[in-house]
Amino acid sequence: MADKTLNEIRNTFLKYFEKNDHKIVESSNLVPNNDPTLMFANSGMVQFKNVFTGLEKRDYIRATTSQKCVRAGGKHNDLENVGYTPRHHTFFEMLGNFSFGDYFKEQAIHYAWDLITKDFGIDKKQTLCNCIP
Amino acid sequence: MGETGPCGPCSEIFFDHGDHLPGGLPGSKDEDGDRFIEIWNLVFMQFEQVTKDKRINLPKPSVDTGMGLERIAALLQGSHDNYETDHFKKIIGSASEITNVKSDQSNLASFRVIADHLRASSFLIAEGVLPSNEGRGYVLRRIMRRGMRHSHLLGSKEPVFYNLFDTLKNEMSGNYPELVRAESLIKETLKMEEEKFLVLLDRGIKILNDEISKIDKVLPGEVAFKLYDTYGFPLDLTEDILRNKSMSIDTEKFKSLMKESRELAKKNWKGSGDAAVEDIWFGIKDKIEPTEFLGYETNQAEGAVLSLLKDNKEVDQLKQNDEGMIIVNQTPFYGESGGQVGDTGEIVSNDFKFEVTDVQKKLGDLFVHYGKVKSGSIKLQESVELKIDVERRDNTRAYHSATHLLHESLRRVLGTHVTQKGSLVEPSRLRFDFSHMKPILNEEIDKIEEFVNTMVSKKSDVKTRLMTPDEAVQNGALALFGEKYGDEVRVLSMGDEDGKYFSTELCGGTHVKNTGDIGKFKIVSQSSIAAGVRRIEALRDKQLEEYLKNKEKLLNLSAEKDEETIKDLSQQIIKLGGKPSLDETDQKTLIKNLTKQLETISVNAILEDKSKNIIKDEEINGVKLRLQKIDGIPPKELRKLVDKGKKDLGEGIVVVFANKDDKVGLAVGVTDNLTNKFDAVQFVKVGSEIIGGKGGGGRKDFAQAGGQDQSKIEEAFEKLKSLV
Repeated sequence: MADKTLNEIRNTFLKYFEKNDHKIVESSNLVPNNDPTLMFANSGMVQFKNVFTGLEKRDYIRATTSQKCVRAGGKHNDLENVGYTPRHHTFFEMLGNFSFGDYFKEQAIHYAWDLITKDFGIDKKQTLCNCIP
Repeated sequence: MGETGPCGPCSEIFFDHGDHLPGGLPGSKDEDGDRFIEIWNLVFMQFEQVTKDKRINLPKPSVDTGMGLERIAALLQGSHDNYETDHFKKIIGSASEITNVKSDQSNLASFRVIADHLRASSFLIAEGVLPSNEGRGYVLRRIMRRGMRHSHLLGSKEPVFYNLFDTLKNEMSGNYPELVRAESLIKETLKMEEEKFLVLLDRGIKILNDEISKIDKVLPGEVAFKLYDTYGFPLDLTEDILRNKSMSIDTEKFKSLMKESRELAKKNWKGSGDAAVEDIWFGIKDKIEPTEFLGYETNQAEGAVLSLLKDNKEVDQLKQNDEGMIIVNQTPFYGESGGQVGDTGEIVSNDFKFEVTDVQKKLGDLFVHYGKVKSGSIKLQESVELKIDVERRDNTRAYHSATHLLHESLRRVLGTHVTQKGSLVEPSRLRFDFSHMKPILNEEIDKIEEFVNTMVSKKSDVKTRLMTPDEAVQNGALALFGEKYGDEVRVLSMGDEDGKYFSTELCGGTHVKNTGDIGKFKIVSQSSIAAGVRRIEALRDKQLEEYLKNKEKLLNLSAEKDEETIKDLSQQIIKLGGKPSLDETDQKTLIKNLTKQLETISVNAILEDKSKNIIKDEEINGVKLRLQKIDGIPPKELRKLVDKGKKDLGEGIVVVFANKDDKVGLAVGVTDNLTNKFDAVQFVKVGSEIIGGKGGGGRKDFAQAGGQDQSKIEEAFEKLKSLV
């Protein structure tokens, strides 16, 4: 994967889940229209909040997105750190896969492991996992 | 996610970059190092956090995962630094070229900031967020200015960001087409903000350095406030510059000055109406943030209730059937301004339903929703969903855009002396008042309508830009009457005229995306409302169709009615032995002619009817006297009868009474050779008093008066006889 561009990596992720029956859904707007406590979309699940709680129905139960996020105001505010670390951003994209009452832990972990070790080709030995109850 | 919502246990996947980098295992005290990097978080959602202390089980367990693209890209490209990916290298490379500065360890932070903030700013502007002094616009402004400060630190004296945008666009527009759609808005906004900021920065830094040389450790609050209030130099920037010199600000003083300035604004406020009511808004404004208006982009949004009012007092709750007002932190509802009426719609949550009948802006930026609770109740801090009446808004904005096209068309056809004097934009019509000295000719109306309809039929996109007022004027913008303008203004351009915009105006209202959405346009009335001010009313699209349909119906209806009147009049004329003259083709004129004919013929009929027209000729003291009484003749016929009487007598006095519809008319004529002995005015005066009228008037040879009591006509005759 070393020669893949950022654009290609985004594509690899989305296509992997599309291959596994996920619908590729467009990023929602940065200005959320479904959460007054939120200044900007800050994670992939924001646009699906009401789908998770059962308030809203969509015509798919598996989705994958690359979501535009801004963390620069409100609860998550990374503005003052940006520049001084190698990994802080005010704007970033969050890749994600979602199951709305469909598959659960086992399948989700399988997909994640399959994607990073096979399609992304990351060395298992360099990978660690934890579990936060 | 906010503080409430779905949640559950999670599993995180980390990558070990190797022991050449510092950092401990996740969960250890050194976990924040660069060695072990979290790459993917898998959340297994089993619960919903309803309030801070309450969580319930979700009906169906779900999965939500998140992986930072920049981070995984860095990893897969063999780095732990997101800014070392191909994507960021391209942007930083461009920044280095444009600023003519090589990136190295000493200026790395500035390049990272520029690259990151360019992305955030561009994507936010693409969604219609524009730099301002509140809400999301303020966060954007802070991001932009922070970025610009770093390009300034690199030594750049010219705007950088708008030149950098092309690189970002090439990189990301494949996945995010909004960057192409909003390209000009993004570039112009970046350029304008940067130019403004460079001026502000130079000026502020000069003043600040001056002040710094006078102090030891703490900058007086007065200076920081003056920088902020007078020079627009942000407090955080002042703090930042001082921090680098290990100095600080007297923030207590700064805050108290801010408060004083707000108090002063309150005192100087010249609001309309009841002072006590207006006062409430100041109390509320001190407590809550300005409302963020989302309505340029969306018709529906959630908001948190910040203030509730009933009977002009703040309350904690609104209940069923209460009439009141609601203020939320953000709203898609347009508040009445610039002639455009406020939106209507509803605010709902669970069983609560509030019908919004109007929205007004208070103190500039508090959006107050007026209406009535249809069901349920609402308390402060609760979340609500706000939905505007979309059809109504669509119509309103089409009328607003039509107003802009009309304004420019008026200037083209009537001349540039045309300036707006007033405007009303409703969902069902528009009204536009403007300076113009004379009525608009029909040919001019045709030309004006043609201009507007041509722009509509070209179906060109409407463009919104943000500029300084000066720039806007340079761009030929017409300022709309009744709006207050701040540091920057929204500029609306629309209509395609050989690739140039037909109309450019300053405007905070909502508009169509494309001129085609306006539909067919027509001026339906013009009038004068004051010296030199004309008013036009116009309709478009469906309402115009409706209007034209109704007009045709009305015309048909009145034509039918006219036909009946004509028939009726003709029959009456025939009944009186006349022959109706029906040569005239225009219905209205024909009705007029026939009415006249009928009048003449009925008068003649009465005159010939001996029971209705009683004439008594007498001679008293050698003076010939005619006493005439006629039933059913209007007073305007009296003079004719008097003249005829005088002719018949040759020399004498003529007295005529005519009564019709409970009114009595009296006329007296004296032949010229007797006017030295008798005065017609005198006769009329005496006579009218008897029949219950007032003196009347005229000359010695002819006078006329009115009265009501026809039973006294005989009595009046006798009295008049005694005068001879």
